[in-house]
Amino acid sequence: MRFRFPGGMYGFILKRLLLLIPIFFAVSIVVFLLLPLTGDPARQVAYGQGRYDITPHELENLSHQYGFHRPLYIQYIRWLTGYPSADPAQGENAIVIPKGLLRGDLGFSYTRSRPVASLMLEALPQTLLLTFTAFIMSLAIGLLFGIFSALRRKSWVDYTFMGTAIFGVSIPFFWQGLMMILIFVNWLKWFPVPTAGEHGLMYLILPALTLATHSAASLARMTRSSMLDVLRQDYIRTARAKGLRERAVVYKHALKNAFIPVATLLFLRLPFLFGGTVIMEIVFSWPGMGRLLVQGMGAMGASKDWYIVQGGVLMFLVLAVFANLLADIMYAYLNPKIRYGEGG
Amino acid sequence: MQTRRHGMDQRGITPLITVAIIVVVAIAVGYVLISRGGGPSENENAMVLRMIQSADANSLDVDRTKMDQAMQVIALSQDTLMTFDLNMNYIPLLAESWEIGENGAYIDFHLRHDVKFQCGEPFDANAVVYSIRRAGAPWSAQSDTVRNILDAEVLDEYTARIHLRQWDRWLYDWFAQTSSSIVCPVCGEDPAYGVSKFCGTGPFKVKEWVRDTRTTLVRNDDYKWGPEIYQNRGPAHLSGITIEIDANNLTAEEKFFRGDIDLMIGISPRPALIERLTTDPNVVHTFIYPRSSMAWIGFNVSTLSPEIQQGLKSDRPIPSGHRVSPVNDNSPWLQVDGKMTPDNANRGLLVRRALLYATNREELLLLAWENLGKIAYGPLTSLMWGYDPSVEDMYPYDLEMAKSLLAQAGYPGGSPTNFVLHLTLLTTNYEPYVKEGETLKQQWKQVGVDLEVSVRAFDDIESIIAKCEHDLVVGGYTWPNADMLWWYWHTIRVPPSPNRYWWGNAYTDEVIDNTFSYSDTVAFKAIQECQRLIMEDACYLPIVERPFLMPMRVDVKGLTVHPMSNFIWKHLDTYIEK
Repeated sequence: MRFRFPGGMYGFILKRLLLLIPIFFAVSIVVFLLLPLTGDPARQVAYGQGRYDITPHELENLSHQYGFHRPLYIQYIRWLTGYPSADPAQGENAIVIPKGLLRGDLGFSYTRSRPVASLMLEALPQTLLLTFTAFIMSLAIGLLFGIFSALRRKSWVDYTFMGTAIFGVSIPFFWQGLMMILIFVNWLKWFPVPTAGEHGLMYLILPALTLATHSAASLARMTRSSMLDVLRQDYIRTARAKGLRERAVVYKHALKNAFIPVATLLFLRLPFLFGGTVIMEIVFSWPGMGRLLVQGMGAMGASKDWYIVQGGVLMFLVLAVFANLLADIMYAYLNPKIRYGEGG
Repeated sequence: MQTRRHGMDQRGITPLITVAIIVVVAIAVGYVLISRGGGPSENENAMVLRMIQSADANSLDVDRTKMDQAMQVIALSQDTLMTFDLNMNYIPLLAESWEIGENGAYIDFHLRHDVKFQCGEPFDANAVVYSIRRAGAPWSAQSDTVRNILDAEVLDEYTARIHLRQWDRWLYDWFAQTSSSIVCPVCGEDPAYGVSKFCGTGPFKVKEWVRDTRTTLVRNDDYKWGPEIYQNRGPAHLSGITIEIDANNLTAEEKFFRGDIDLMIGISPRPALIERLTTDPNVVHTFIYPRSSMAWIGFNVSTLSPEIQQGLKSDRPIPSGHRVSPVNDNSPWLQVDGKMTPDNANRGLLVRRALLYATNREELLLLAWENLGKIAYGPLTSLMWGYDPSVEDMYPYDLEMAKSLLAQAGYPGGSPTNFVLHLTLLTTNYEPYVKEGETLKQQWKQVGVDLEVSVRAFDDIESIIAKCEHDLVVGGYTWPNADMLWWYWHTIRVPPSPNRYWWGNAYTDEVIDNTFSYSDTVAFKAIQECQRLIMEDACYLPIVERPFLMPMRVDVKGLTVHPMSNFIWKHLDTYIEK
């Protein structure tokens, strides 16, 4: 009997989730190869531990300890599943025996002597907090700028807001972050100096605002354009002809329909926001996953730790994939032209 | 298949608003949860010394690290048997006294009776024996340093004997260095030791270490055995110390000038910062003083002595990347642009000497180090015992001599418009090092040498050097004594880093061996001879004895500035004046 997917929203979500499996495996291969393809893995582990004068014999021991002497496909299977398990006779000690990625083990950080999963889970709430704050900020700013620009078309308000939006779309994240620090922290002293480990609201505003800028600018442009389209429709004219107040026309009739493409764009920006946290967390010393990931790459005076990089990339992949899924669902939910089920 | 339609037209934006409200509430709750239990309150901060630096330690286990950043914390939380006074003489710390056996065959340490570890374990001879054996373990970062220790023995509860294979004056010195700190036998066996488990006899306890973020130390109230260089022998006046990590100059300096930080450690001497520090005397004191620290550039000298090539003097095989030369001579050469051939090894020596003559070190000191350090002329710093001032006259700035030597080496007619050699200098992004490279590029251009400055990650540089694929590389060390000669120039150290010159010869090895002599006269003479030998072979370009720049706020009082800098500080007299 031929298997048929359930129809409607649930079938759509199920299909998208199943599609994640091959994506996950493809990415896992790329992520796994980060370590062996970027040089001698044993030497990288040694350097990560600060052992720069390691002898060839010690390197060999380290290679056995971590299983780097095995063929690459065996190493991959072991990284994924935890099997074949370590052979104590070959010097593999318990501290680095992986349970496997499929069982939630992202490996053991050789620079921090802790499981990577626990490091990631510790940093994840910070990244989520930053991302969702930026998400809300971009929504608020984008809508505000877009609506007022549309309502005051070709006025100084429109030119100012859209000029700002173009600037916001064009400006690079990292530069904007540094300028925000220079202006609002160093010169004006309105905000505390970004400090890793400090989580107060005042520490959150600048990185979230910087992260939100690009999305807010895109949303503002989209909102303006969409509002202008809707405001030209017959039913808006009819609403006005019926004598409805302008506020009701705009907010009840126009905005409701103009919001459909805006909402789609809004959720499509979510993966972009997750990606942006990597830069923001570095610039603003925000102790999230992005900062951890970049430190794992050996930046900011930290030692390289490819297990952290592997874990970080995978975590960001999961976040990006689910953000995309959410965007797809919202897009389908909001847009009546999208059908679920066969051919949908 | 069922087909359904959903849309804004049917449901309106109410669900979206609901979602938005839920997200806002979630953020608010998340913010409250994450913010809970933040930093210490104002009162708790009252006597906390807040320091900041750009990089963190890789481990706080003394036997798993050699990093300066780690030693700073270990010096605060652990103690050594001996220590240095302000004139670098040995003085007691955990050992009340010590005796050296005949011909330096052993050292007996008589220990204090009133010391205990922070976990409550007693400090006794067992702890010393445990620490010595741990330092000598194959995995230990100290194993090379303690190679001349045969074993350690408990003579009685408070006397430990260290048996030596042979007298080793640098090992004796090691007992006063932070890297020889005594480890608690109970806590030292914990796999988390140095990561999340900490213990020592020092004046501060490591409360928490968040890697690459912050180290928090609190006062050890039981401490009363501080060394005599401090007026206060313990407990410390400070209630705690925090060491924050911030690699961003922009934010690190702002924290300091705002008063969020009391002390900046090991910062780069940048002009804007120096100006701000010096024009703001009411806010900060700035200590700028020389220490036994060196910035240098190493040449890739890839012909080694026959002993090295045959692996006779070292149990370490020659890495495959090393170009083993059939030439049996003691005149190593510089591998330059693939143009050198082993049958003319002497050309490399001429090139290297030419580059030394073409280097204007006064200008380097000014442009790269803001004139804050002191010109370096040889492999050792002028503060070290055995320093030979005669090396200062060996390579004066002389462009004509440089051109002449290059011509003899087969590179005639070099000028700013006619490059005869192309070299690449590897450097990290540490600002003074990059400036060194840029300055040398301009200086060597005068003799027709085109220098490319390649800024690379530290690990990448190590990998390139390990394969012997470099031309020149920047480096630096901070070390108190002439043990550097063994670490950097003895052929036994050549295959692995940190010998970045791939240089060595049998005679120099013998001279370096003599620097370990029990006789001060023999050792002193050997140290001096060795400096000249190394500079005659020109495998190394000394740049500057690096300054130690440590801006401090005026409300920090009583800090005892030690020539060994922050690697040895106990902060027993330090306090914050509110």
